Amino acid sequence: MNRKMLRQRQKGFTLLEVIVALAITGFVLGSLFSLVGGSKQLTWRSQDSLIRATELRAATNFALLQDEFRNIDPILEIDRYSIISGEELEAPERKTQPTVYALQSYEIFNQETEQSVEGTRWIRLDLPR
Amino acid sequence: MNSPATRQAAFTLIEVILALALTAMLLGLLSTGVFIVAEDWNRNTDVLDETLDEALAILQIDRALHGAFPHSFINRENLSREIYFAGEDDSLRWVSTVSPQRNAGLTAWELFAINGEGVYLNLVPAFSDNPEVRLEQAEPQLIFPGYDIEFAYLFEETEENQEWTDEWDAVESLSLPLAVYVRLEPFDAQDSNTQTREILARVRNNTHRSIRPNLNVVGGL
Repeated sequence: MNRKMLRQRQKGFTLLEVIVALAITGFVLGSLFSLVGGSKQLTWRSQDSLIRATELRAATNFALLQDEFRNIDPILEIDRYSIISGEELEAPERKTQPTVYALQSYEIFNQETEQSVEGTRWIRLDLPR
Repeated sequence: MNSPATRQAAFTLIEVILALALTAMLLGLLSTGVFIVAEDWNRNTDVLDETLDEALAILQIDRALHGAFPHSFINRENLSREIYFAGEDDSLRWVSTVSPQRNAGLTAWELFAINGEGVYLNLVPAFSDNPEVRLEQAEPQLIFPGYDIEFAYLFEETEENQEWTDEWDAVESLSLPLAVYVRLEPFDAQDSNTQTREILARVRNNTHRSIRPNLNVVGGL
């Protein structure tokens, strides 16, 4: 009786056990490699947004130069961003005297990602208003 | 005597070797997996760190150029008052109200490139004398490795017409440009981690409160 039990106990792994063990190993390896992919993607994304931030900074500065100097030559080499002039904002209700300055809305549009940043800038009109 | 102990006495040598080999293989696979992950993680962090440093440096320089100041000093040789702003197409020395450490007072900045290495930055406090002397003694720091630098300066030809020039000598013009443009160009265009970077800054404080600008000399007129 005792002998029989022992023999049965030491038979070996069953197929089920082997499959479970393999599955666990597979899971561990799989999650390790998905971590690699995840960290890589995260790096790319954050790197990209850092670079975009500095590029947008230059584009905004150019948009603000353009309002002061209307005929300024474009100098930025990165041409992903186009500066689109919007409408002039309404003059305040109580304006005591005509001025040549008006507020204008503008938009910096990124053609690649189709994202845009909006703002307002001063412009100099041809005639006082 | 035919007890279970004799039948189950031991593994054979082959069994042990096989088991060991299998375990070693599994361990090897797992540890290479871990190693690759750790390695990749490290590399990604490095790349991200470098990009972050670069972005911060760009924004600092942007601020420092916006805060450019018409710093004046007396030239000991001819006793004339000069304004300090020496702009070439590949280097720039200027005085700014801004410093990275937010120190009080003025700071002299210098940006220049050494071919094959990158762009260096030099920073010294600016006092009432010529900042040039102290800039020469200071220890420059490499801030954009792998980049070349180029400058352009905006001047007013007429009120309706502004032009970019690649040189600005404040000793002659006695004023600062209207705006400064900086382009960082990588030596190696194939490297995806380095691309063209640009900085543009409007200089609002471009004339000294008492020294009259001499605009005729700017732009080779």
